[in-house]
Amino acid sequence: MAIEPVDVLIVGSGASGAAAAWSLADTKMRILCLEQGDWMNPQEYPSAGRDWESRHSGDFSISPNRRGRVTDYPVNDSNSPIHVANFNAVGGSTILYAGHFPRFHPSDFRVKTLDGVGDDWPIDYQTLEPYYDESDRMTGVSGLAGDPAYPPKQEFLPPVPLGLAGEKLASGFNALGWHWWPSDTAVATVPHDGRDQCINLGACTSGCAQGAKASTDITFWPHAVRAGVELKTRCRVREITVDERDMATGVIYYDADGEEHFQPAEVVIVACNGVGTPRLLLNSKSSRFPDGIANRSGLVGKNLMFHPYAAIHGIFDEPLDGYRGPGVCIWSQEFYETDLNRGHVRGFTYECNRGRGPIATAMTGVFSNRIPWGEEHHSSYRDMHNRISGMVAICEDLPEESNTVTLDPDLTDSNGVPAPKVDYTLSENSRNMLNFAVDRATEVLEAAGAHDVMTEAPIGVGGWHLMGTARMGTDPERSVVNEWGRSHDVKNLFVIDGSLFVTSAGVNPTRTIQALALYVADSMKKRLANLFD
Amino acid sequence: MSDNLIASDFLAREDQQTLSTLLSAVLPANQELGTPAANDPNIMEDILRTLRPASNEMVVEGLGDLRESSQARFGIPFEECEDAQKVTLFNEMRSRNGNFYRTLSSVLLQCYYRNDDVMRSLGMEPRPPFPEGYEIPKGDLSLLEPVRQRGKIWRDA
Repeated sequence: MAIEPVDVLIVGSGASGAAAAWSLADTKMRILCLEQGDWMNPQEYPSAGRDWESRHSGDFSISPNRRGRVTDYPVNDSNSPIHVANFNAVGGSTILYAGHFPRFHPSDFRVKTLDGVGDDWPIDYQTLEPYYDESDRMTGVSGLAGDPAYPPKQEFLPPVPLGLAGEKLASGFNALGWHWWPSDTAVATVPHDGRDQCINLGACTSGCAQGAKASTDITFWPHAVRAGVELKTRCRVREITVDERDMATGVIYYDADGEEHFQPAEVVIVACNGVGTPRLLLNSKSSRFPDGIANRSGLVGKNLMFHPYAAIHGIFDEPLDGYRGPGVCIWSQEFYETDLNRGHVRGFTYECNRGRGPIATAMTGVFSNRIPWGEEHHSSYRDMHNRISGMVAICEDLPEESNTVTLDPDLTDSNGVPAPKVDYTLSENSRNMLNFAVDRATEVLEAAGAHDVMTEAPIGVGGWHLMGTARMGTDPERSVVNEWGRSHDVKNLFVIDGSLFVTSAGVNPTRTIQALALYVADSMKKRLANLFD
Repeated sequence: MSDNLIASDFLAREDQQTLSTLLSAVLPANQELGTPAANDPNIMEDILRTLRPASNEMVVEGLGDLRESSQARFGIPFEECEDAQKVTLFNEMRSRNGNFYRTLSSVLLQCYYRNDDVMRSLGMEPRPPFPEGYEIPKGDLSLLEPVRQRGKIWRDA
């Protein structure tokens, strides 16, 4: 039986796909989203079981290669010091994110003008501001108004508790006279939009069984589905097809049984993240696009940006929050803006981490030789249990064409579709920034009373943020999509995820990804009569 | 001979004996703290169940390596070594047989620190986080006063 065509086909149901689906639903067009993963059942999340910490390195690992679910695809990132993290399900990687939810700053859209590096975005903060607000309402952002590191923002849900750890770290920042503020988080601290409030489970990064953390399967998607959007799971899209007029005609996908289907569509929106999106575009080869669809610029898959992360944690004399509470509590943007005296351009955010669980504490202690085996184990362990806290530095990564996502010549997913290959080198600027961030954070922790500081830079498993591989811009020679997300080459093909990013800023990207998706969707709605002109 | 061996088809009796002896040395019981040894039957069972996905061959080879090292280093069977000697031999595996060391250490720590008695000894309730959750203090937001007084730090663009 032939599959009925749809007006809009969205590939991927994560942060951006969910937001766009919800926004476009009010057009009453026939909208279909294809997702390679499943709906998640929060009652089966690790925090509902005794083995919650163990599953964090098993079936809920952030690494698709380690996790190896049937819904995952492998990633060859052996030529990168930072390894890709993601999750494939309805809600995408928001299932596992920490919910640390900063916005970009006005300066983040003017990097070239202000600092002479990277490129300026074709849009600015003011353009995105109403979409940030809309995304925040749907997400249920908690925080505290008045952060002097940002232009004024709308009111929030109450902030997550500082807890013992937040107070301790704040005392360190205060001792040095440095900025800190309760983090904006995608965690409902009071009931919000049918979701219950946070009860401090402490396992945010392996799915929130309480439903307080705003993964998009429980924020945008219920509204989008009620408004008529159809969401099909276990559908893995292999390629986007195109006709002789350079218009996308639909997609070819595999269902859960491996059966191949063609889904015709008037508009195709790609929302597969900064690695999955270039993979799909590059796999969509045709006589019209021998190097992959929408790739006449040659930039699809180039300019891959992670955020190089540094981890800096201290051991304190007194018990802090340990395994309890949302992992995030406060942030600092003391070193966010450029000061060339620091030895690098651009800057970073400190995302403070509350503590860690009993098993993670033991692993840290044993593998760093702080906790011995034998008789002394127990007393050494107790010197660390509930006494670790600190931060990670999220460093701005500048775009470089040599950092790429390409197709692996040998590795494939379970359907035989070529897997992505990541080639990435840490720049000298990033190395300098990481070193600076480690040194300053060490000062904070020592000022707060830590007697032992542990560091890792970059965090090898920390490829949480995937950006820049189908960048937006006004120049078809220098960008893949235009200033509202439409492909320069294929006028009914849109990109809405982190691939769009021109620069990465020094903050977690999900809030901006959602705002961008809402902005692109709204741009489409405003142009429905001449969308393909 | 340890009496903590359990029914398992994962390891032969000799290997299970070596493992049990090793576990009681690297994570011994402590009566004062109320902690069991890592070869407590409940923990041992969890370890054997959790080890299953790992390579059986790798674990068996590693345990055999411990026995051989004991003879070579101390001239006595592994089971007859002092606990400190067993710990020394295990620590040496870190560089000589890193995969075995990391795998066994990781599984051991996972299973030990999710055991009811161990959690109680740490003052924790032996339960999953959900659905009861936890309480943590809200904290003192007046600590923000110096940050507020300093004023705007974001950059005009």
